[in-house]
Amino acid sequence: MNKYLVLALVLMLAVTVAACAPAPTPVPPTAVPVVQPTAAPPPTTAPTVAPTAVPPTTAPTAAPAKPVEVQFWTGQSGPQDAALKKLADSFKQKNPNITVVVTYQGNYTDLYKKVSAAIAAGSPPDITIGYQNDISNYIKSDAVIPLDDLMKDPKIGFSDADMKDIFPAFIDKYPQYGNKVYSLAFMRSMEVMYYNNDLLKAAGFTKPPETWDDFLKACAAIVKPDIPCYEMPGSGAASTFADWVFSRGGDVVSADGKTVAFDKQPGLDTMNFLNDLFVKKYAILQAKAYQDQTDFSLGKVVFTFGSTAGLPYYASAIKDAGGKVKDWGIAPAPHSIKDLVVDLYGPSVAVLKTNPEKQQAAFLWLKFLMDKDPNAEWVKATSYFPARASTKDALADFIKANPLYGNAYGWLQYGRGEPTMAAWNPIRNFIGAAMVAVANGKMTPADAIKDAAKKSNDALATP
Amino acid sequence: MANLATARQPSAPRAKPRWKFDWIAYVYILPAFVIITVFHIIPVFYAIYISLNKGAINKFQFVGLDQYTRALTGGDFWNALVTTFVYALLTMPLTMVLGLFFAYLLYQPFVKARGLFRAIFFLPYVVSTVGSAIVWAWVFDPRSGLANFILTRLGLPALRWLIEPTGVGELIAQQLRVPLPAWAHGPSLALIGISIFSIWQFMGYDIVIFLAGLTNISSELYEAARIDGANGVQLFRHITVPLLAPTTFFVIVISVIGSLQSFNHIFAMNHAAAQSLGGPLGSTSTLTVYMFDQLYTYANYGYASAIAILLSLIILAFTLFNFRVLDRRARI
Repeated sequence: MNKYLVLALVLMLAVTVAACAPAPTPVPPTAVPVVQPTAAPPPTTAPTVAPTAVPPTTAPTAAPAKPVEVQFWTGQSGPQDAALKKLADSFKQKNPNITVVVTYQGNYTDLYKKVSAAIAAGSPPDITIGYQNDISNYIKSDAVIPLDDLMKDPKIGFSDADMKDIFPAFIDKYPQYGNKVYSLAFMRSMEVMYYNNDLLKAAGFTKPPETWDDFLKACAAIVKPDIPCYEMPGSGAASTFADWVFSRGGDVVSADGKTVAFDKQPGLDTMNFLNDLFVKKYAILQAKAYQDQTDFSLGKVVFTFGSTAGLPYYASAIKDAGGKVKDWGIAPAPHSIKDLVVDLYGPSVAVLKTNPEKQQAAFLWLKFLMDKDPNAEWVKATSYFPARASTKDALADFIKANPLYGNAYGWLQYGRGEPTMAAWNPIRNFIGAAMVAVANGKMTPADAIKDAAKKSNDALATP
Repeated sequence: MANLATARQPSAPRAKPRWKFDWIAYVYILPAFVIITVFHIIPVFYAIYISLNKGAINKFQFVGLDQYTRALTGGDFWNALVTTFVYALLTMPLTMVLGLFFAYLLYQPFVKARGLFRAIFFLPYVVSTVGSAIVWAWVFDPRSGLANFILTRLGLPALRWLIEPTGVGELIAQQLRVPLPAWAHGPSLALIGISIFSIWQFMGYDIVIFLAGLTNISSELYEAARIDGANGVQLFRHITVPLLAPTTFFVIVISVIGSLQSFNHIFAMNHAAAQSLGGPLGSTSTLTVYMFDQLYTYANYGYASAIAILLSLIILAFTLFNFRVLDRRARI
């Protein structure tokens, strides 16, 4: 046999195998994607305790002895991606031995798929952004590390002053995994009510409704065939539902995370309220993504509920629509309890199981993102809320220029997070489906709650 | 490898065949072999392996055929299967009939600029599914869409289209104020909306294939039949239909596989209409959509893989049926 042919065969095999092998470092996509849309419905954690603004300690620089590269996978595109890369450069200046490679991997669903695939392939990133229920799936796969020890480490961890400065809603404890901290957040947003003050004032209301009864009165006074009071996404709105349940003194899951709690009276009241809105024709279902935002900008809906991260998008939509809406604002959802509670949510960051050097470097990067000044830079670029109370000082000019953001900042201390368990994602879908069934008149509120609770409890019971 | 060409020489004596190992042939097929093995064959076997397990991403636990039992004994799988077949029945025959109709029309000698029309009809097939799905979501918008504009101008009630989970039979019965048993409610209006989009998008493909089949039919046959006094209907029935049978068979096979695998435009339209995956109350949840949901929303890797394998078996069964029955008829 011709030996040159054998040589060619071997070479071709080698090239093919090499081409099929996973690349050691993923290359960031070259095309800059469009800006992330707003109302991302997400989850979080944490009790409702206002942190005290204590000056944080300066970031310790426990730089590794030899150069370490940290692969940071994100769902942040466009200006947010640019802001993170700028922060990575600043971090590199303080930690010359650590290079953070920020890689946008698509929206959060795409990011979850890619991280899952990378974990299965044995080549995960070193640190990733993700929603808590996604991170729960990584924990199940034993792919992420608990951060408790690193947080308490005297050299690189957080000081007591830091811990007092950080809002509790930014520290994710996972009750189903020994209540350990598996993720931390450097950004959060808040579920709020957007209101059209032109319509309210024209109907004789001097302020946005503060109770649910006031809300219904406003709806009764303003609603016309072409102006509904509320537009619900066709997939339901689990975060809005959670916020409305919180506002009635309830919760969505039990404290131990083993069963749902939205089947109690506050949950039932919420679903009855939703039913009322549709039966009285105060509410309609959206037929296009972000239709409520578009209609709000055109003055065609009185109230919408969504994330504060949507503030710049609302402002821009109103401007693009020719300023038809002159006076508008945001407020916490109406409430029937004395103490204010608002739903805080947003993605967190988890460190994946790699090697001690990389894990430590990844943690340092995460800690840097939560530091006062870098965090303030991030907030200015994104309108998210910062992780620390002390960041407010660095945001004075930003808050002055963005008074609506400033208002919401004041409610941060009343924040309560959504659950962190893996089952929260399907539970959100069950809640959404129940809302859609009620909106379409296919189920009574009680049956819808009962059905969603049963499916959710089954999901919670599945290991 | 045996040199089969030599072995099959009828004149060759039945002597010991000459075996020859053709290295160069293996070199030529190696790249394709590696790519197909790595990206097709191994994933199939890996999917079968995953379908026999449950658990998280890299911590699978062997459960035998439990995932298949769960699918075959659970209502959701059968609901999705029924939706898949209903969707296939709504789209496939109409797409083919309209495709053949327009192809036959374009085939007529009096039609000028045939290439231009062919391009126009083919355009929806090559336009981005996501882009066109968003446009169609606007068309079906209940408040400001073109579809309701036309309906209301005709004196008909406006519909909720892609956000309507109610069956079309039930909607008609509501208008006529007559009771209707549950089995007669029919597919949801949302599924009808998606089917209209599907027919619009895929009809162009059928037209091009049918047109290619029609141009292969000799014009002499038509001329001879006309001389014998055949009219247009007889020409179509006795010449076009039989001689187009192999093309029709090809279109049927492709359409069956395509409609059972439909995913992209359903997914895109669900999102464009602000719906969760599967549409309003799951009324547009075909098997592929259900499988995707189980994988990415519920992280049920084993169960989703079992659904994928079952869907593959269903498609295989239909394809074999087509080959055994329709292909034989097509050749008669």
